[in-house]
Formats: sequence, C-alpha cells, structure tokens
Amino acid sequence: MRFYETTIVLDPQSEDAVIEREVEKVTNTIARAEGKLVTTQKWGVKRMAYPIQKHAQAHYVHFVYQAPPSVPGELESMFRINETILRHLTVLVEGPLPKPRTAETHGEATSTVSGPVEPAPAVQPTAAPTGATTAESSPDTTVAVADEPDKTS
Amino acid sequence: MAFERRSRKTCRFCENTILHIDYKDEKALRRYLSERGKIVPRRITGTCAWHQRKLTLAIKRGRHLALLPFVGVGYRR
Repeated sequence: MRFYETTIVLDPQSEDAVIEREVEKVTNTIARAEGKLVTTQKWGVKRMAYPIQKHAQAHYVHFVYQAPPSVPGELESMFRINETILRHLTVLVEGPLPKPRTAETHGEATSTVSGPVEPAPAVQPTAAPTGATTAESSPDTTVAVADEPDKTS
Repeated sequence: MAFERRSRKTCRFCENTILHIDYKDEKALRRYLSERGKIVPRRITGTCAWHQRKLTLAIKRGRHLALLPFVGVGYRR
C-alpha cells in the first residue's frame, strides 16, 4: 500500500450531483481495493490558467489516499472515458502528506515556499499523521544537505 | 523585480529547508515563471540544482492541471 494523491479537473457546467457522483466513484474504487481515503477536498470552481475544451473555469477535486498500486491505473482508465473530467493527475505522495488547503491558507502556503520567515512549518505539521511518511522524508534530508556544495556552481 | 537584489543569490528552498515542492501551490510557483510562462533559469533565481529539478517537475504538474500557464496571458496567439 502506498500513498497517492489524485487531482481531477471537472467540467464547470456539470451539476453538483454529477460531481458528487464522480467523487463517489473514486471513493468506491479506492474502497473496493481496500485502500484508505485520507482526505477528499473540493477546491470549488477555479479559474484555469488556460482554457481547456473552451472552458475558462473548472471544478477541482483533490484526493489523498493509501491504496495498492493497482488503484491509480484503475482510476486512470475510469477518468479517460469520462467526458466530464477534463484533466486528472495522480502522483505518489513523497514525504509528509499534503496539507488540506483552505480558501486562504493559500496565502499561507505561499509563505512556506518563498517567505524567508518560517522554515519549519512546511515539513513538520504533516509529518505527524503517519509514521511511514516521516521515514520517507528523512532520506531526502540527507540528499538536500549533500547537494548543498552544488550551489556554488 | 520579482526577486530582490542580494549580494549573493542563495537557494530559497535550501534556506527554508523545504524538501518537497508542491505542485498545487500555484501562487508560490508562479514567481518561478516568467511573464511569458517560461520557467525562470536557476542562474537568475539562484535556486540550487537539486531544488530546480523539483521545481521544474512541480511546475510541469501544475501546468497539466491548468493551475499554471504554459504561455502567459497576453502572449497567446
């Protein structure tokens, strides 16, 4: 079982019920494979950076889950035949589980990457929920440190 | 300018000990894109090679989900 995160981009014109159904489908697929859903998050209708199939906006739904490796493939083939899904992306979660993003922790999230003020929060808060992920993030630490001399180039 | 002048450019990610760059954080990633939507080279931003690779991947994922542009608004044909 591994941790994955999947984001789907849905047609903005579809009704809430349709979106609900899509979310359910994903949830069921994960459940059927005896995976564990960690979070489901609807980002709502967002303006896209470029139009997809003439739509300027889209619904975004983000899932974090733990599942056997068969699941992403299954979801993928499901998404592909589905016309309300404009885009989808599944990636392995590296390190800490992604933080849920609320409407304006968004600004806060910005500061974790670019703000020189608070170094720790990006790593620490999410490291807590699972022991597995904490273990995963530590090897990376060594890589980052080892790489530092490279900065001079 | 997007990046403040410093005597010595250092990697912002190393400074803040950020190990994972999130593709969902489009606001933070946008500052590593030029107006045209190109990824700003590390020679300009001072990002270290290791983080620039992570950054590039995050930006490309963001682009796929239309969180980030392939081509900046106003430069599209």
